[in-house]
Amino acid sequence: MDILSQVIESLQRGDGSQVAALTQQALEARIPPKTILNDGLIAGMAAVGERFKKREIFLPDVLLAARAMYAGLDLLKPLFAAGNMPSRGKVVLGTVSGDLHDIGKNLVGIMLKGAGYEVIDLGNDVSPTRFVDTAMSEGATIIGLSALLTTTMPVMAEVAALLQERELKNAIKLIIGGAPVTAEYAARIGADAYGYDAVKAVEIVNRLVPDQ
Amino acid sequence: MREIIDIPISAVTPPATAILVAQGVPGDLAYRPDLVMASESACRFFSTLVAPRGILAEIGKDDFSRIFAGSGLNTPAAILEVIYPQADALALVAVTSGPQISEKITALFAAGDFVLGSLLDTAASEGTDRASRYMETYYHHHLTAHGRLSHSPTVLCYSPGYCGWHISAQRGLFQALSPEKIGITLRESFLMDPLKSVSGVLVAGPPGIHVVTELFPYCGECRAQFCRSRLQDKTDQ
Repeated sequence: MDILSQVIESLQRGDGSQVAALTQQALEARIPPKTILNDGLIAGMAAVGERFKKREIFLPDVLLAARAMYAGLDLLKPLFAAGNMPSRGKVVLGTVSGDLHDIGKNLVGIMLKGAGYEVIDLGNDVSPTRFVDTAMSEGATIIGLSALLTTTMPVMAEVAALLQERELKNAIKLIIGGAPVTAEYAARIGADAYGYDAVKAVEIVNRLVPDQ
Repeated sequence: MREIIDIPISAVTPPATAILVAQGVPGDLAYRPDLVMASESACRFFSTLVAPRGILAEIGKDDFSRIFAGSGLNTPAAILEVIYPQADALALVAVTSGPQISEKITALFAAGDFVLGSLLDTAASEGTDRASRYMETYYHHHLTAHGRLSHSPTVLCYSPGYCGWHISAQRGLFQALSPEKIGITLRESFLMDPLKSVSGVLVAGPPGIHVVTELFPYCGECRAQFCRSRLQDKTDQ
């Protein structure tokens, strides 16, 4: 089995030390870092996502795999020139204003990084203006919103309205999620998508981000 | 009756396997040793950080009806509207696992230890639910030990934000119960702080009053669906 296939297999097992060792081996075999990243680590996380969707594995397995992926990623990061880490795109994430729940949002961020995206996590209690301003200044093409209260969900509509008002709806796509959020609500407020869980969120972002 | 209760840590600490089940791992799977170890670590963290407390205050149906109605935002078919009038006794309740758990979860994620952070978050949610069930049992004991009721009631907790009862009803609930006395505050968005807290009403009555057979408009969007299983758990005890 070639090295990158071994990386994929070790990643799926959640074996971070083996992923790191194999990543180092791949580098020593002069495989380009970008190839190791795309065809090893990101490919491994994509396989994890597929198995999760088929219910062959579950959330804890996914997180162990992500942790293993990061072990390999930590070896590759210094090899890219500052600011030139390959990225499929930038995503601005946050929990909306009035809300402090962040676990789901954190898991989405972890999975998006595992899929090769640069994630700008604004944390909790984030205003609509800050979401949109940050996306604009960072050149992000996706805003991801999380809310876990019916009383904070309306802030999502404010973000959608702000994107509309600033004529950014084509440039910046909006994906929303959280326990009380539904696909119907997403459609009603003009969001581009609803993410049921972190793995689904990656799938949706992959679909929304233009191929580079 | 109005009481503040220090809940035993042993009563709220979930077993490691319960954390994995709560994260979606089927209960009949042979768990990976590394996952079991991680869950056990989460349980140990939980038991050292949790500070479970509860507050309970009995309330009459007329007074509760005002709290239940809140600002008039309940779904027309809120199930509690049918249940509480049939109760033998009602008590407002709030429980918390304390602030340190949430602080630790945040710190773990910030440090990149998201596996343990996620498991501890689930342990804390499970633990807070167990604290709520402890209060159900506590109130049950109070009602039966003091001979208040001639029969053994089933006591279940119902919380604003679920099953058609609007979350804004927490405003009236907090005014009547004062959970600030056990360290729980309510934000403008009706978010409780600490996050791992539960508020609601304990409804004591014959098991039949809690039986849910219909499907309501909000049932389709419910991911928890514990309304039926928790009654079964009570029946099995």
